Amino acid sequence: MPAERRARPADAAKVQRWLDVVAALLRRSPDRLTFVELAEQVPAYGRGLRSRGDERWQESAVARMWERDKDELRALGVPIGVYPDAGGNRSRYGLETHEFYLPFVHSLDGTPARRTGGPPGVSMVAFSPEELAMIRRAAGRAAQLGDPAVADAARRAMASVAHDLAAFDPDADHGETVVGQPLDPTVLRTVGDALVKGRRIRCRYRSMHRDVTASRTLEPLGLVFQLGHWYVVARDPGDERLKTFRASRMSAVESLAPNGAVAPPRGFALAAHAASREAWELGDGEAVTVRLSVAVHIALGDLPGAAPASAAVGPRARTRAATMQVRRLEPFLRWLLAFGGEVRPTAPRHVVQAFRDLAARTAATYGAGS
Amino acid sequence: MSAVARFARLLRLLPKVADGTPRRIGDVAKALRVPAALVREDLQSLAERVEDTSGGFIEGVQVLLDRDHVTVRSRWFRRPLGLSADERAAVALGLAMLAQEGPAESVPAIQRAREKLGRLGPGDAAVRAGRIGPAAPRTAVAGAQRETRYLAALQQAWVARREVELAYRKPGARAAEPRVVRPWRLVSARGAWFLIAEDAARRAARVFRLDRIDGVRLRSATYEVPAGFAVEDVLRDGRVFMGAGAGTLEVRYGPAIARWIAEREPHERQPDGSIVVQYPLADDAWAVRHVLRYGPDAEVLAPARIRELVLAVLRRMV
Repeated sequence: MPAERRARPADAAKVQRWLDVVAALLRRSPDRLTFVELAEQVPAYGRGLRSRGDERWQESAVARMWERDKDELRALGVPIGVYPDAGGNRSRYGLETHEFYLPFVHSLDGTPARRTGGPPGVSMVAFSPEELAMIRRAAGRAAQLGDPAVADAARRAMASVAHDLAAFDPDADHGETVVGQPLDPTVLRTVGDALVKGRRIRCRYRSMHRDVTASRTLEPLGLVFQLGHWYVVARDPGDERLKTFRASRMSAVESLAPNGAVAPPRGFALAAHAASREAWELGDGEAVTVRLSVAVHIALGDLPGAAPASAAVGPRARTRAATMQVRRLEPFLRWLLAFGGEVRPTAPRHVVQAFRDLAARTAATYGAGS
Repeated sequence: MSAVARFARLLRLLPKVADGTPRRIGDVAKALRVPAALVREDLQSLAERVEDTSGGFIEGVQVLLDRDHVTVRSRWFRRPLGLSADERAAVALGLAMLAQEGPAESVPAIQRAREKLGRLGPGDAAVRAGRIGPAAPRTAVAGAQRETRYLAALQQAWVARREVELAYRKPGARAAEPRVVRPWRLVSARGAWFLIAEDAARRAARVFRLDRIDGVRLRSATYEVPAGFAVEDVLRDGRVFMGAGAGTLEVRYGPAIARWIAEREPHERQPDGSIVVQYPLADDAWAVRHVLRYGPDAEVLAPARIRELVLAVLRRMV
């Protein structure tokens, strides 16, 4: 047996103790047990109590062990509840079977529902074949995003969903491959862990605009996957402004010791903050309405934020008009340039001239006179 | 081997074996997709009780283990644990991606799937009461690609192994043409989706950009994906590319933008701070579009015909 796989006696004892705890609480569910009642069914606790006497159990090492066990089991997803006794003291513990067990999963594809291996209190959730296909495809997609923690969680979820469904293959190929940018997996793992625990992080970050790499302390508020890249939404300590950092530009990421839990600002919605914006939509400058001539074979949907500016296009028309709101002109004009003249500005005049100037400057790099 | 990892694994293992039926360890390992030795170690850890159990203790799990077989009896571990917050969050992340990509008619099914997914684990009441925790990290997806309107239809065609007729605009073409194809793989790379498929008329594999597809129609004819096809064969430096002998595009990026390009492309650095990057070239129109988006900060060095094409396009715009 390889050394790294050999279980230490303390770990083996802990695993057995945790299974004993869960079995004891499930056996008596929905009753709530005092710790002394629980210890009667968990040998590791019972031995500790016998040596100290039941009345003083709260001062014993075994009581501290139970508190640690309870927290670790909850972190593993075992929903141990603490309930008041007749005197209002929160001294009773319980596991609700409907919260502990996976509900029976049923596919509405005509196969009979199976209720195996669960007590009567466990509910059933029925999925249509289309919904199950979506779930499996979504898990497959999540598993390819480059975050090993997300990938592992998605695979575990599918293995559980498959428990009741004979025809559900959790590893089925869904025909899609997402090629992510190379990324040190410890970055996402550390940031994800800090997010869960509300901790700050310290990292080395390469600022592309300033072309410097420097140490930064950040308060992470969320992770965003966008067009093949992971980003960390965070703020500097003491500064409420939210910033976005590309994860691949982070290195030497470490989670810092608690210094007050990092909490998002009131009303913070990660998805709304992460909503994609083009380079020309960013900035504090006044937005300019630019009128465009667009070749008819180019769908306006391919021009983010474009609004039609003319009536329905006739069958012989070669172009149509549209408008876009622009805050930063240079990136907008470069983006237009890539359409090779099939999308071009027609107003206002200074934008038209700037577009021509950009084309002329670009042509000059090829030796063309302006 | 940490207790946390072993306990989590046992909660997945026990529901598969805890009905008292003797099973081959190898079969159990295969079903769980973990090494047989690990399954044996996990079960062995239960069979050999560390603690003294004298005094009427009732075992939560009984394990009979011989060289090749295991028999497990447990009344309490015959169902899996409900999905944890991070498991639900991971799948919800994938669902969010699918919802952004559309099509719109699939969104109701995605929303129903997300709602039911939420019922597969302890609910909000358990979270608020602190019975489980901590919550999963805040994770989101953003920036749906605009060309994904036919992604779901093509994925369904792939699953059913049904041919599709594409309305496809070739590079530089103003109108779409019908192409009958057999989908082999859908690939998202560098912010764009591609369909790798066999073109039925040409009897050869081709790459189709989804943003050039104007329509998809499912056909009744079926096909098989060739056993020898591997998606890795069409990926180069994280980019989808298929074709041989088409040539190489060489681009110089000026110092003002070089570091952004250098971050993602293998390159050759020049003394003036610029960089030179070589790309496999199978599509002239792509090359023209690619360099124009960088304005005067990118210059085609080779081949000469692409330089001429770029210049011709620019002259029309001046």
